[in-house]
Amino acid sequence: MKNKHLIVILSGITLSLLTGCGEAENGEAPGAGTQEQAAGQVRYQPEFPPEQIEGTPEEGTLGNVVGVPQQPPSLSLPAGAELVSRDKPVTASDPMPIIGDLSYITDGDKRAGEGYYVELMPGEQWVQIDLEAEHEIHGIWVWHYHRQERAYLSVVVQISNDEDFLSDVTTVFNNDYENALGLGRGRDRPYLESRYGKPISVDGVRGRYVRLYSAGNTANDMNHYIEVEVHGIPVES
Amino acid sequence: MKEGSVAVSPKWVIVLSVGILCFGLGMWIRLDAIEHRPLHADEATGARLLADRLETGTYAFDPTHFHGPLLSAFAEPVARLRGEADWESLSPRALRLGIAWLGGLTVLLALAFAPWIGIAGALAAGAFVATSPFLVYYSRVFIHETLFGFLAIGTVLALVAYLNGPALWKAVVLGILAGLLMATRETFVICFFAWAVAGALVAFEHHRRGRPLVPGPVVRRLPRDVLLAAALAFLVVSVLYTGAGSSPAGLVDFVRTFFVYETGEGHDKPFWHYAWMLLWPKQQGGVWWTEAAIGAGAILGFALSFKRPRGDYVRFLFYAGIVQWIVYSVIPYKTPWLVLTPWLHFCLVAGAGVGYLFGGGGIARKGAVLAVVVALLVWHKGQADRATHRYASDTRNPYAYVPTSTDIERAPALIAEMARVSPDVEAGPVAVIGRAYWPLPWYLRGTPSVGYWDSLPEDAQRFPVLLVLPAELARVRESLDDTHTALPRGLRADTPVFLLVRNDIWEAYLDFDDE
Repeated sequence: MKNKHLIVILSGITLSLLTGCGEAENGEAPGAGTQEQAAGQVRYQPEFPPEQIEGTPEEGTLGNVVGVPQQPPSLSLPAGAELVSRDKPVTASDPMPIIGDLSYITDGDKRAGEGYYVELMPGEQWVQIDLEAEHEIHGIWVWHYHRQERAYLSVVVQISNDEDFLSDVTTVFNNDYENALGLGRGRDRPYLESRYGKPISVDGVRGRYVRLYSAGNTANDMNHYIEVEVHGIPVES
Repeated sequence: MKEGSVAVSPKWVIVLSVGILCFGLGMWIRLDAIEHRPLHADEATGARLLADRLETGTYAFDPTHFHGPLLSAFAEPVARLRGEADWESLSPRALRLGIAWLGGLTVLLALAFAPWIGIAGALAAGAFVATSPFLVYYSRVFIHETLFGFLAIGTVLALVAYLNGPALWKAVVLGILAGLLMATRETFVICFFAWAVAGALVAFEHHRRGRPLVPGPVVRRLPRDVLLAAALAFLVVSVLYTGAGSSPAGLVDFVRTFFVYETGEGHDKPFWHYAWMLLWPKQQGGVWWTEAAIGAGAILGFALSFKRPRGDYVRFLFYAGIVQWIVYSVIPYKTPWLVLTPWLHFCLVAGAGVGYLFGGGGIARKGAVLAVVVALLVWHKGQADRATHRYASDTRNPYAYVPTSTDIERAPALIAEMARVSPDVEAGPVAVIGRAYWPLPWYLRGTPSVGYWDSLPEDAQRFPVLLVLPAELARVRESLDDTHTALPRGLRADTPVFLLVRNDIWEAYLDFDDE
């Protein structure tokens, strides 16, 4: 009993001691703004507040972030367009993913969590869906990973009739603003992942193969896919 | 055999070889690519304190934050030896190198328990310490706990050695180690409390069996040696907490810290959290994570110790580990690294358990025990490899706590590219908006004109680049949605930071390759 009391007392003391740390001012107080005058120009620098040393950050502080759609988005498709990617074969730059299977990408299951996503190696990677015939493509809808609000980096989507994407390549989405993939700087806006996925409207581009690139994400270096839908109309041969 | 030559028994060759193998393995997996993981927020704040010490040559203890002075005092010579003497030049390797060595040297401390837990037990304990994914992970992080664990186990070793054969030098070592432990972090009181309870329980066992509480030779010299050890501990504490006399108030603050220390919010977890983290098998990221074998080994060691000579030392370690574990589990505030020291206690007891099994049977039993232990070690090492490399900054790694995203390492280069297209970026301010932004200051060391604001300043619309924390994003975008483009980037694994670039700079940046 004495021991129990001692533990309780010690717990009370140490509760206020444990590692978390709080916050404290560090560095010098911010200096006043400065102005330099040269050749009729005034160069102004405001005062910059110094950093404050802080303790261990909280887990998962994201909350309700602007940018995640609050309403389900939709795609405008022409009459006759249908889902043409279901259960179609998928290949990838990482042919043997350590987690999941490439077939998850076209299996129609969009749930997050263990067993529903495929994880490719870190850095620049791609997956490629073979529609098994040329299609007029009007929409692509991508779910990378939505268990956590994060953004995938350097997302590029291309369509081609060339399996190796060496010729006849049309880029339909590119937010690789750093040109990390070397496919050119993209002007499409980066976005946060959500359960609604990312719909990409396509203007009837013809092709048999759809390739999706990424280069890690804001949480880690890995590349993930839960599902990709391609909507189109078969091209009469 | 030639006259004058010394015969070395094959047994000792094997023991020495296994000991060296354990230490070598422990060092290797602690040092391998140690600089690759992005800096954790707590490492970055520790680096800031170290940089203050390096740049000013002084230290002032803050009783409300950041624990004791030893971490930065210990890291200072390592950084200086590497020629890194200020905030700008510090590298992750300089920060982590000393900690990794201490983690490896803890393997040697485990081996040094051989007289009390047996040779086979000490080798097994050393192997557990060398490969435990939890211990390996935190041997590669520049925070206090591996240093604390090394000193705690060193203090126990010195205490046990003293009780077995009291000597002046052992009392001196004990006093110095205890002082260093007290200078590491305030939770030394939990260690001291746990050791006191464990000592009392073992003393009670002795009393029930009619054995003396303390060996006769110890009793006679105990008062003198205790005084000496206490005086040395006080001296070490005084020197370190006062910055070698430059800040005398540090000694008062050493006591005051127990009443004024401020903890952060958001770290409360249930009682069983540590058991889940270390013992409960869980599949995350395609990996099965658990160190339940060490827990089971510790229970085995405890159970078998009752019929073993010197088993009371094993029970002392077990009781001390359990008391610490319970205290940390009762306290709602929980971070993984807090149970590192009790886990070291359990590794020693688990080693003793393996030693008991190994020593009590024939060749078949020895072979079976060896095979099981080697298989467990291989599995532990596999987990340790995943924890420290592929999943080093991934929330699916149960040991990685609010890990920093690798993406943040690219932010300075991106801002530098923006500066190439607009001189406004260099003029600044590059504004960080919000709280809980560490380790951003570490990664923005080379970026000119960085300022930190809790909320958006009035004239922010002309700011060229802002880094906005999620909690502030909604308010910031109300003001800057028309003037800036928002780009999500990673800060921590579960917390993005939003890079807002003024639209004229953003357009110039996108056109830059085309010009």
